[in-house]
Amino acid sequence: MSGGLELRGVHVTLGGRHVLDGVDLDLAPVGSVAVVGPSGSGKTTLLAVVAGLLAPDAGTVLRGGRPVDARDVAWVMQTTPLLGARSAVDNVALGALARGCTRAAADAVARDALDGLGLGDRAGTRVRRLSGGERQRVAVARALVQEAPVVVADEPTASLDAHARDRVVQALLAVASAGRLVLVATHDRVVADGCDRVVDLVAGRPA
Amino acid sequence: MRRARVVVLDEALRDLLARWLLTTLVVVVAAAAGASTVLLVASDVDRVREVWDAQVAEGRFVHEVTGAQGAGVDAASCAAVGAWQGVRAAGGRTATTPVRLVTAPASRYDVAAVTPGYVAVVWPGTAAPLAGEVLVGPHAAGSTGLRPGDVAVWAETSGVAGSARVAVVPADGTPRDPTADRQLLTVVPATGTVDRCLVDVDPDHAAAVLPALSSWFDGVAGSPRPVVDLTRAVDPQSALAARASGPWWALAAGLAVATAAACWSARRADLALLRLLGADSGVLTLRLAAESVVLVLGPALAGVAAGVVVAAPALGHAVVRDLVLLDVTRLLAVLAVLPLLGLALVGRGSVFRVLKES
Ligand SMILES: Nc1ncnc2c1ncn2[C@@H]1O[C@H](COP(=O)(O)OP(=O)(O)OP(=O)(O)O)[C@@H](O)[C@H]1O
Ligand SMILES: [Mg+2]
Repeated sequence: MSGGLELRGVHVTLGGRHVLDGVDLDLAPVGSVAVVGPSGSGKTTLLAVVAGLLAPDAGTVLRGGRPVDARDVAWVMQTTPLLGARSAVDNVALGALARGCTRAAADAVARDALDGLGLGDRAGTRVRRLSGGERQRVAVARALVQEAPVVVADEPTASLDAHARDRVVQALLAVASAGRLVLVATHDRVVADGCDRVVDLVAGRPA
Repeated sequence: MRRARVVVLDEALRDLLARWLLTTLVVVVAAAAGASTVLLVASDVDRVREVWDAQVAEGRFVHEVTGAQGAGVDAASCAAVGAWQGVRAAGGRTATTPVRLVTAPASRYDVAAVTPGYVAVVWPGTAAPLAGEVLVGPHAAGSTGLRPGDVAVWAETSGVAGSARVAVVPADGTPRDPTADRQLLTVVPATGTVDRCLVDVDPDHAAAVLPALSSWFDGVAGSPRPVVDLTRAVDPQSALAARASGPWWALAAGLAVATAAACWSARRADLALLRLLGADSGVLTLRLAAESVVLVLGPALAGVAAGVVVAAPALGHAVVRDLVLLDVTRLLAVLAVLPLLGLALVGRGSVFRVLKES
């Protein structure tokens, strides 16, 4: 399956602990996949391995038969890295600039993405002044405008109310139906239920 | 490709502007490093230079050669030394005659016949009187009231009378041969003997001239010795080596580097985010280089420029200019490697870890 993700015997040991313990997983190139499991089960670690940010101690992670290029993966982290001193729109525009957009084009897509997530009126605000939930949506917007073939989101709805959560889920699912792969680690049943597939991680392995 | 670079530079500027307080702090420290290096080194070296110039003016490099048992030195040999390379002037008195001036008969003065080089040794830059003219030492002029243009008329104790037009009165007394301050000098050809031969040596050539001087007068005269007391003299070489501003450039560079490093450490997560978004080491290096220029190199250069303007008078002296240039070059050389330091600080390590732990 071309462009799909293929994990074989992935082992990750962190601080002497087997966090991922021989994960075998095949993911289609298009669709939405929820990764669920108890806290500490290795969801974040699995996503980092998929995104090519963490090299496994053993095993392989291939995308379309090749090692994952970090640039093909857009990533929303559990504690979201944003430029606190810059405006929301500047932060989102970074995603578009990274794929070669001009400043004007990047600003335009950034505003659209923020609008879509209900943050249109906060676009010019410094991220430092936004609430946790608003920041999370800025990070999601940035991942969306990167237009990477794979979007990896680590608990993107953790600090959102039901309304904001639904907007984020909708936006992520829209990306999946637009022909990309969306991988979401979540504790939220509603988010998992919206996905095409659910991978349940127990003690470092898919159950 | 070019546009990608413009975007990187544009983003660097926007980030620095957004964190203007941190940026201002680093910029101010860097500018202060540049300006202080110029100002401290210039004033420090200029102080040593001033002492040195005062010593040279006083006669640190004026040497006297006296004949054995007061026999005097051949006047022609003495005058010949004045033409050597590395010698500014040389000369001496061939005769000294006590006189009474008709305008001030109560006091006794000396009329001294000197060889042509003598006036240039004792009052550098002062033109020697021509035939029929006399130079009146400042003390003699002060007590007799003689001024340039007057005619001095005198009588020797033997009764022989003499007179000459006063060509020049030096403004200040000379530390090189204070006796001349109370004398009237007339210039005569360098024949016969001089009481002692005074030689004004160019400081830059002293190492070569002094031995040559010894062998030139070998056997006919005592060895040359400085006319001023050298035990009081400051050695500029060791004074410069021990100057307090010597290590300042390193301190200033260290401060500028430390604040820049602190700035980058504070923005470690921001820069890791760029790597997360696909910035490779080339982009990161360009970015850090741009930030180094804006944060440190530019302000340091501006500080140096401001320092140069303020210290311009001192920088007119070669020794000051050379040492300031040396220390500023060292400072800028250290600052130029900042992007590499930045790369070591924020360009390595797992992006995932940095972002997770920030
Ligand atoms: N750098 C590290 N050093 C040591 N242990 C680590 C490190 N990073 C993660 N771990 C451990 O690995 C385990 C899995 O971590 P991970 O973040 O993948 O869990 P998770 O499933 O995402 O949990 P949560 O739902 O709470 O986010 C945890 O027990 C965690 O303590
Ligand atoms: Mg997690």
